[in-house]
Formats: sequence, C-alpha cells, structure tokens
Amino acid sequence: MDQFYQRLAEAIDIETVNDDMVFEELDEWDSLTVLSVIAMMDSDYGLTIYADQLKKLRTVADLKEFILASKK
Amino acid sequence: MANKYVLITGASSGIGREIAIHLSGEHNLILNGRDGERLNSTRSACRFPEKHVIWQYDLNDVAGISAALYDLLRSDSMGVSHFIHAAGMIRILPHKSADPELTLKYFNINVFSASQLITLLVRKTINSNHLRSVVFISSTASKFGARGFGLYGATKGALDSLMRSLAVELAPGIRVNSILPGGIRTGMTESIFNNKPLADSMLKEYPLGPGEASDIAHAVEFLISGKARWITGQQLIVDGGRTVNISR
Repeated sequence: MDQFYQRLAEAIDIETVNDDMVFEELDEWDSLTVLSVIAMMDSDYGLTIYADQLKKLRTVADLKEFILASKK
Repeated sequence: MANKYVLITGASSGIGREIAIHLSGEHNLILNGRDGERLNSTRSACRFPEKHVIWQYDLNDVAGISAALYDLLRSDSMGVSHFIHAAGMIRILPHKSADPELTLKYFNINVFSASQLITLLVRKTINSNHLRSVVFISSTASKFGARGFGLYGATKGALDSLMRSLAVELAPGIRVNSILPGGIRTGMTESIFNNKPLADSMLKEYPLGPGEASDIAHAVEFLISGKARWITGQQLIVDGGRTVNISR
C-alpha cells in the first residue's frame, strides 16, 4: 500500500493525492480517468472494479479503504 | 495423408468459442487458447467433440510459437486448411496511461502471433499446401476512432493492413479477409458493458440493436466457404449498421 498514493496520482495524472480529495471535484476526473484508475486497481491489486462501483467511492480515503478491505 | 483442420485462436471464450461451435459440425478444429479447462469446455460444446484437438498455448509468447506449432502439426500429421485469429485483448485506456509493457503484450496477442502463425502455415515444410483461407477478427476500431482506443485501434489497423498485402501475396491459392465486429458483449468486453450508462448510450447508436457472437460466427462460416471464393482482401463490417449512423 506504500505505493498507493503515488500510483493513484499517476493514474489521475496529477502531482499528488491526499485522503480528503473528492474524485468528482478534480478537473482531471472524467470517464477516461475512471478507466485508468480501474486499470491500476487491476494491475496493482488484482482487483476487478466496475465504473458504477467506483462511483460510490467518493474520496481517495474511500478508495484506500476499499482496497484494504478487499485484502482481508 | 494429413487430416485437415481449422485452427481457431481465442477458442476458449467469446467470439472464438462461438466460431468453434458453429464450425464443429462440418470441420475438424484445433482449439487454441491459454486456459485448458475452458478449451475443454468449448470442445464439449462442439458437435463431434472427439474430432477436435486442443492446443493450449499463450500467444503472448510469440518466439515460442514456431516450435509449439511444429510439434503440434508433426505429431499427428495434421494440416491446417483455414486459420481464424479470434484471440485478442482489449484495455481501453487514455493514451497517457499506456506503457511499453502493455503495448508489447497488446501487439503480441492481437497482431504478432497471427503474423507468425501465417508465416509458418504457408511454409511447405510445415503445412504443405493445405492453407486455403485466413480470417482475422479485427474491429470497427480499425477504421474509426474512439477515446481510449488508441492502442487497440492500432493493433487492429495493423492486422487489417497485413491482411490486405497477404491477400495479394498469397493469391490465388489462399484468401485472406478480416471481419470487423461492432461492440459485442463477451467476456473480453464485460467491463465495458457493465458500465450501464455507457452500454445504454452505445446501444442507442446501433440501428439494428445489439449484436451477438453468433453474428460473427456466421460471417466467418461464409468467408471460409466456397461461396466466398472470389472474396479476398476485404474488411467485412458486421456491426448492426453502427458505423454508418451519423444521426444525432
């Protein structure tokens, strides 16, 4: 999980991310960015997530929780 | 005297599997894929399962195809009369997220493996004079653009350009064509169709509504048959009219 913030920032194509960031409030957030994040979840964590599931994860913290929860 | 087979890559699922099932009544098949279990399942769903051969091989390993195919054909004195490349991968991504590893894998599976297989299948020392026709399962992304489709479209465009020159070079004995499907719901495209708003908006654009894998299988059946004897070098679009639709 130590790479999580860096990899997520890369997927969204911004310098850094933090827990409080709301995805939909980011300028870069569009349907293609969603696909980049989905691809990152698959390649880095082996997780399959669909666009409508991702919609429910509002913030970076929500996404991190989702990944941590799936590892249990 | 070799038995003649139709080689189908990507036979473990989706369009490749559907093609296999449709051709199984009239042809002996070589079913290629990565997943032995799913290949067995395809074979069980075919007519006359005992006539068909499973060739489990990961096409991403392009360098190893030569030895593997040679072993397969030699061991049972098999000849390949028709080659259908239905193996493919799709990963819709903004181009800014592409990387060299993904790009190489894309081209290996979608293009280079097919190219290498044909190189081998036209060599007399490997496949005698058996090859009669080739069909590539391409995509409308070969001819048209879409967001996130840069690499996928590049591989399908490459496939179709290869198809055209091979059609000329290998004539008159061998015909080479491509089928360009529109969006069809299969295991490969599941993640696209699971995005409901996207799927709904997609389907509104299709004058004939949604298509199925069997629509592609029927087109393949026609192209490898004697009824298509004067057709070569063609991109046959099978997409329910989507790509001619410019209505708002």
